[in-house]
Order: sequence, then C-alpha cells, then structure tokens
Amino acid sequence: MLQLACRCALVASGTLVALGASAQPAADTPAAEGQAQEGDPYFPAAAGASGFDLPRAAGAPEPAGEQDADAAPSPVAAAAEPTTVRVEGRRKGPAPKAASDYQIEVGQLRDVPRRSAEKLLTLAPGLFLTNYGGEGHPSTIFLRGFDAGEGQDVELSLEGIPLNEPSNPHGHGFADTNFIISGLVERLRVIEGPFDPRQGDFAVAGTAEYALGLEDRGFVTKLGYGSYNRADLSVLWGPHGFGRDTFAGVELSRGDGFGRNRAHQAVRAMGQLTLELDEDRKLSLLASSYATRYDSAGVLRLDDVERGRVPGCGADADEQFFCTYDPNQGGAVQRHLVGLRYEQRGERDRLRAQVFTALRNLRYRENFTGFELDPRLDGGPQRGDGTEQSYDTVTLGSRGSYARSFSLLERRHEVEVGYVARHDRGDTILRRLRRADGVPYAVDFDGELAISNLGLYGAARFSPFSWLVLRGGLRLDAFVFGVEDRNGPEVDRGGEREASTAMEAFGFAVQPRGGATVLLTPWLSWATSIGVGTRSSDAQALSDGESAPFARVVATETGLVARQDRGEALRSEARLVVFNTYVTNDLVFDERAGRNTPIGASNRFGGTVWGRLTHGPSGLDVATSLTYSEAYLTPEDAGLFELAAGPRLPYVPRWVLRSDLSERRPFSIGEERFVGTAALGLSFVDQRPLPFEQFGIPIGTVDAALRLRWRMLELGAEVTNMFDRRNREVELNYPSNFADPEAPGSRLPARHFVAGAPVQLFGSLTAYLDPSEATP
Amino acid sequence: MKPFVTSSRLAPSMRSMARCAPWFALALSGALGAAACEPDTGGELIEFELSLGGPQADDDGRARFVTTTGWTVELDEALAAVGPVYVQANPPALASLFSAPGDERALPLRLLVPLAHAHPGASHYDGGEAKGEWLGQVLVDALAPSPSLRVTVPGTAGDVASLEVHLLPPRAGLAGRERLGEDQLRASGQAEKDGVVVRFAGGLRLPAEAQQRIVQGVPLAGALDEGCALSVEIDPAAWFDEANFDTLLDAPTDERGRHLVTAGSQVERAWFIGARSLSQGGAAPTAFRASIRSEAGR
Repeated sequence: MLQLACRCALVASGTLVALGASAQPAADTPAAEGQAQEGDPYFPAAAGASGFDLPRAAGAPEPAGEQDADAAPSPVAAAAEPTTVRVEGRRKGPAPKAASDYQIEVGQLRDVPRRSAEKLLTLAPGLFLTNYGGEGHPSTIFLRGFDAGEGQDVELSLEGIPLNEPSNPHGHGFADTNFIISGLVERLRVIEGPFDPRQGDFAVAGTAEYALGLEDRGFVTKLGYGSYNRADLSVLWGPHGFGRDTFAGVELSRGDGFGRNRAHQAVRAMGQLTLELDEDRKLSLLASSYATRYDSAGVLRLDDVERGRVPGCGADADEQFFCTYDPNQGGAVQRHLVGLRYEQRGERDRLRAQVFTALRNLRYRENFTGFELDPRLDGGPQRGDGTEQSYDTVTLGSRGSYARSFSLLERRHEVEVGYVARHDRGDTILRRLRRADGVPYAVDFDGELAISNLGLYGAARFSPFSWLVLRGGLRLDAFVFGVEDRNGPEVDRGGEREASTAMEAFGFAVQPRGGATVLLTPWLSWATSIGVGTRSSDAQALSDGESAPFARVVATETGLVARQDRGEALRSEARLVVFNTYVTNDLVFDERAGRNTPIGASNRFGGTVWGRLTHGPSGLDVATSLTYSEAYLTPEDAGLFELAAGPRLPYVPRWVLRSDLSERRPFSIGEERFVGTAALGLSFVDQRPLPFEQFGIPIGTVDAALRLRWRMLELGAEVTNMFDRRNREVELNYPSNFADPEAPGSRLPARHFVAGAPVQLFGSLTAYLDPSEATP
Repeated sequence: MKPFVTSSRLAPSMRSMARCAPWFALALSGALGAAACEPDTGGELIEFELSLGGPQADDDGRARFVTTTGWTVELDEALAAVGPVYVQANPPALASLFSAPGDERALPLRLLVPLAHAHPGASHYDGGEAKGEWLGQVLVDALAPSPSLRVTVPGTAGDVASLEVHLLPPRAGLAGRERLGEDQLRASGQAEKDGVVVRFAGGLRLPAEAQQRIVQGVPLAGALDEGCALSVEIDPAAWFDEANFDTLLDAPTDERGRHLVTAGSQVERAWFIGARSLSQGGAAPTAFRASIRSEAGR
C-alpha cells in the first residue's frame, strides 16, 4: 500500500500544480489518508487544506456519496519517488455526510444575477426564498416542506460562526445573511436534514454554511447602476502573497425601490487574514461590519388592489400593485462580527478551535393587519397594528473539534469529538405602533435575555468493507435561559410590585444521527441517513423553573449519488433523494404576531432530483434541481404510514424548480482577447396551499446577464424578472382591516400578498486593477 | 433506541422515531397517491344567507308579553340598529358553565362541589375563530312580519357555536335612520299592571366604554356550509323584562302624552340589561335567538 503525505498550500490559482512530490509508505493520518475525510462543516477552509485526491489504498475506493469534496485528480498521483510536494489547490468542503449534503462551489454560477449572498442559497436544491420585508430584511426560507421563517428551522453559519439569533422578537432563530458580501462567498454547504452530529440548534430543516474566499488577487472594483436608481459600489482586494482565504471587501448599495416605500441603503465590510504559521498550523482572523436602513411596503389586500382602492396610489393596476398601506414599515440593522480560527494537522490527527463574537442591533417595523388588534376598551378608534421589534444583543462563542484516524481490520477509520459553546445576552422588545405617526402605544413584551448553549458531539466513520461506509454520532445540547420580563404589572392582587420578573429555564436534548453509504459502482453510491434535530425554545415562551421543551425533528432520507470528476475538464454530479421528516411542534406564520408561532406536530415528505455539470473546455456550468414536498399537520391518531393524514400545512411550496446556467467563452478580435459571458437563472414555484382551502398563484422568474471582459475591464448588463411577471412573492390568507380605524373590522380571511419585483435592469463596469491573476 | 431525549416531550419523540422507520420509502409512494391536488388546509370559503328580524308579531303589528315584574306590555314600535354580526366558532361563556368539561363521570359530584371559574379578564367570552360575518348595519323593525334583512354573506365552513352582535349608533347612511335619531334602540307602547296603565316611549343609547355596545355569546348550534341560512331574531319582549313602569309616572311626557324613558331611569336601566340579555337554549327572556338551517333543510 502506498500513500502520499501531502501538505496543501492554498494560493490564488485555481489549478493544481505540483511543485514537488514526496512519497511515503502508508502514512496513516487524517490529513494524508487517501480515503474520504470526515471534515468539519464548520471548518471548511481547514478541510480544504486537507489535500486533494490521493492514491487510494487497495480495496479502499471512494464511494460517490462519501468522496471527499476536495478530491480531484492530482498530478502527483503517479509520483513514486520520495519527494516533497507543494500543491496549489482549490479549496473545497468536507466529505458529504448524507445524500442531501450538498457542497456547492459557487464558481461560475456567480454569473447568474443574484443581488445578495442570501440569494446564493437558492443554489441548494429545493430551497426557495421569499421576502416580505424589503431590501434589508432577510428572506423567508422554504426547504424540504418547511416554512423555515427567517432561519428558525435552518441553521445558518458563516465560516463556523453561528448566525441564528435566539429569542429574536422577529422570530426565534432569525438569521440575517444580508451582511455577507456576495462576491466573497466561495462555497456553500447545505445539509438538508439533521444528519451530521456537528449540526446544532435550529438544524430542523437543515444547515447552510457559507465559506468565504476570493480568487482574484489585486483590486476588483465594480460600479453599477440600474432601475429605480439602484447604485452599487464594491471594492474587493486580494493581497498578493496570501492565499484565496485572505481578502478584504467593501460594498455600498442604495436604491429607491420598485414602488412606494421601498428605498434602502446599506454598507458592508468584510476581511479575513489567514496566516500559515507553519506547514501544519494555520490561523485565520475574520471581521465584518454591516449597517443598513430600509423601507418596506408590506402586504396588500388583493381585493383592494383589484378594485383600485389602496389609498395613496393611483388607480392604475401597477400603481396599486406596488403601493403600501403603512409607510411606517421598514427596518435598520447594525451588525459587527469577529472570529478567530486555529487549525492544526498532524500525522494522525486534526485539531480545530475557534472563538467568535458578534454585536447586533436591529429594529423592524411592520403591519400585517392594519386596524384589527388594538385591544382598547374605551370605544375609541383602533390606533393601528404596526409592530416594532427591537433586538440588541452580544454573542460570545467558541467551538472546536479533535479528529483522529486509526486502523482496524486493515482499513482506515476516524473518530471526532467536538463542542460548541455560545452565550447571547441583550434586550428584546416588541411594541405596538400608532399607524398615524409610528409612535409606540403598547408593549407586548420587553425582556432582557441571557441564553447559553453548550453542545457536545462525538462522531465516527467506520468502513468495515470496501463497499460500505458507516457514519454515526451523538450530539448533546444543553440550554440555559435567563429572562427578565420588564413588562409585568405594577400592581397585582398582592398589592404594589416591581414591573420586572426574572425567570430561568433549563433544557437538555440528546440527538443521535447516523447513516450508511453503499458503493454500488465507482461513480454511484446509495446513502441512507437518519437523524434527530432540535429547535430550542423561545425564551419568551418559558416560565420559571420549566424544563424547556424542544421542537424535535426526526428525519430520514435515502438517495443515489452519482459523481464524475475529471478536474477542470469535466465535473458532473447528480442526486436523487426521497425524504421524510416529522416535527413534534411545528411553526406557521401568524399575521397577528407577525412571526411564526407553534401549531403542533407535522409531517412532510417528498423527493429531490439535482444535477450539476461543469465542462471546462466549453466554459459551461449548469445546475438544475426539482423538488417535490408535501407537509401535513399530523393528527394524534394518525397511523404509522399515514404520511398525508390531517390538514395540509399552508404556505409550503409543493414543487420548486431552479436552474442556473453560465457560459463563458473567450474569443479574439484582431490582437485583442475578450471573454464573453452569458448567464441565465430560472425559478418556478408551483401554487402554494394557503389557509382556508385556497391556493396561491405560481411564482416564476427568469433572470439573465451578459458580460464582456477586455483586458482589465468588464462591462455587464443584467435583467431580473425579464418577462416582467407580476409575482406575488408572498401570499397569505387572514383577516385584516386597512380601510378605516373606526370601521368594524373584518374577521374573515382575505387574500394578502407582497409584490415581487418587476423587471429591473442593471449595468455594471468592473475594473480588475491588478490583473496579474485574472487576465483572460 | 431507549430514551435519547430527557425532557418531558419524550413520548412524541419516541413515536416519531418509530414513524420514521427506515422503510418509510415504501409508504412514500402511498402517501404521494394520497396527496391530492386540493389545498386541504381546512375551512373552505363559503357563502350563506343571513336574516335579521323580530319574532312574528300579532296580526295588528303589536307585540304583547308579560314581564317578570308583572307588567303586561304591548309594544307598537320596537326598532334597533343592528350590525355588524359575527359568527364565531367558540360557545358562549354561559354555555361552558352548563357543559361538562373533562370527565363527565364527575357530574354528580359537581352538584355538590361546583367548579370554580377564574375571571378571564375584561370579557368572559372568547369567540375563537370567526366563521362568518356581516359588516353592515340595518334598522330592524322587531314588530315587522318579515325579516328586515336577508343577505348573502361570506364565511368558512365548519361548526359554529355563538354569535357576536353589535348595537352601534346609527350610521349616517342607515336607511330609516330618522326613526332612531341618535339612539341604538327605540320603543313605544303601553304597560298595564293592577289597573295602572303607563303609556311610554323612548330610546336607548348604549355607552362606548368597554364592550357595552357588543352582545357577545349569543347561543348558536350548528354548522355553516354552502348555501345554509342563519336566522337571527331580535326579541323586544326581553327589553323590559325587569322594568317597573310605574316609576315612569313622574317622567315627562311627549306631545302624545307618552311618558318618556329618560336616561338613568329604572326602566332605562332595565332596558339596557334586557336589550343585551341572553339565555341558554333561547328560552325567554332573551334578546337574541339564532338558528341555522342547512340548504337541504330549507
């Protein structure tokens, strides 16, 4: 058995270049083993450094679904002489843990128009985004039959730093990724389901992890202007002498918005410095700052729009469609984040550690029901149902892992232990606003939070036969909730009292996860996984001394994974997966609260087919997915296989189709060389079920982009929603009264919607001011 | 597989674990077949007929009744501004006192030890989900031989258990508003007891504070479905059930010699109570009765 011990240095080039080679007999280390690496999803950079595809030991083929995503044919593979190698490699993610563990390199699909890092999530199969709150408001995520809100059912993280915000008044688990500069996102890892012990709180529908990187060295400056006075300026910098994981970027954006009350302004700054302390140790410092302010149009009643009676706008259909009832809606966010990451790789083991801190201050204002909910008893007119949600918190956290490989039965195996510790402290407030002037008139809750989460996990990868890989692990999560409720009464039956009350609650959950992968052919494997995930309790819903309940999810899936990797020439991957997920206490949107609220047990099932083809010689990169899912509220007496028992869960999309295509083609005119780019994005979501036996209308968009690069300049043009379809991005059925604060309010459901963006044009000029690495 | 969860929610998790047996894929095909193309989210939107009126009066258009205070009353006018009307899913608070929540075997014991009901706050009534509504306002002539309103209104299919009726000041556009003036209710007639005859007339204005213009929890039993008919009856016999009309003898009279029901008088206070009075099962005295007939029953 011959294996090569390699150390991979991450540098700017996207190609593999062997500078030397060193062959050593059978180096049994996690870093050097030729088998799939069980990388840590929270340390993708480190995983990427684990190396490229090494010659495999006899009898140790790589299952297609288990193959290390770093894997790529290596020019050193054939080397037999002991030499020292230095490799320039493209960083990729850890090995898939399940059939629905998608390692998505953004790559050329970046060409498809997407205005934010958040929208990159739609590269994941079946993931669908809708935004009811405006440009700075994070989108609602729909994934695998889940209405995951703005993150309550999807764990989101950036380079291992968790982004979900516990007990946010806008939704427990709320996660905003709008602070990420999309041009710096190199890769996404989306695990659809809780199948990896490393997945933490909120990994109910799954986990999405952003990994950053910048290929270009030098400065990349982009200036753009488009419809509705949208103007963007971004400067990205990749300093020479560092790898792609050292970069800095600044982005400014503003616009008037595509209708009433939709203006926005935002500034983002991100930077990461990665120091290679020696061949085995690496230190990365990541910092980010973000601020935005935006207006939001909110919902409209469909009957008002159809009759042209939305006040303040003309009777024209478009004016009505893009109008607003309440100009007090909008928000502001400030977010600052710092993380320090350390990684060390030995001959047989791997150590990772990370500390991080984040400051967040946000304020959202929205009004879903008009004049319906004011509980006044003096007979006066309703003051308005606007809500103001404030969240001002600090997060401190740390996480780490230690992995070690060992030999047994002449085969390679690996075990890993890890932890995450996190503390969130701050204030969370929900107030009611007068419609007339936006002034608060009532407090729904006003609390001071102190929430700690300690998670421990152990994971193992065991391959008893060449055709079988078993994975398993156990995760323990403990939560301590401390809440001071400052909105209590000042007088009760006992007499005068303080308005504040303190309470604590404790919760503890054990989550087993595991799976098996069977190698059917060298390019095709069959993976089956099962896992238990949890969503912690919203601290606002707990009482003193309570054993904090968790929403638990039990997910199973099985699927086929086919993969062919011929390096830059051709990479192809396809998956076919069916899944089932049961949730003990699901959430659904409640317009009265303006957030998702508990509704009981639910069940969902479906299937996904996904494929991606990257063909280097022709410059083609195309990815397509189609997902079907059904979700039902499960009755208590439902049978074991009555997956479709009970009423259907509203809002969950049943069919989601997404296609991305990019074609880059170099050509010459005379002595001048050019690169032309054409990109197309297609989204289609079938009718979504709404409450009260209703269906929404389908949503479809087609986006396109053309770019032409000449020397250091690139001219671009983008069109989004190119057929100018009037999409109702969000459709809801519920009672409201936007007509008159003194009129008796309707209590029957009416169709409401949030207007999707119309056709928009955007032109850009990009300058590669240091073109040494980027000349076409 | 033994407990992997240590909180109080153990049982559902264990059930769900069993639910997700590895061979769930076998069930998937069946479920796909079961997943019809209907939204199936519950609460189908429907339309039904709502009628508002009084009980059938005598042939001469008068209502005669005897109050619990012993007065025989004959009304020649009984008007009310009624609306909006909401049809609610939850039963009246009154009903829960007579129903048997929990174990019905404890009913005999409850005769000896009644249940204690904590005060739920500003209102005992929680109507729950609204299943139907009419947001308009109509002048109901409670002595008219036919309903004052018969209209098709929207709703959602399903069981209903109560009504909420608003008695608001007459709107500017209310047809017949001049008959009410600024009052929500008007009545005139005569009352007789022990040879004493009191002719009276007046109007009632319900104050805006709290829920005093809203009659919550009108008992109703049935289910709304497409094309059904909901009939709401305003019974003026309940209006003066606790009135002592002899207290009006010192009140001023109008040009027709009728004693006026003045604000703050005993008759006016009794009227305020009677106009909002309800009884379980619609037994008299009750100011409102409601019933549903399905389309087939019509």
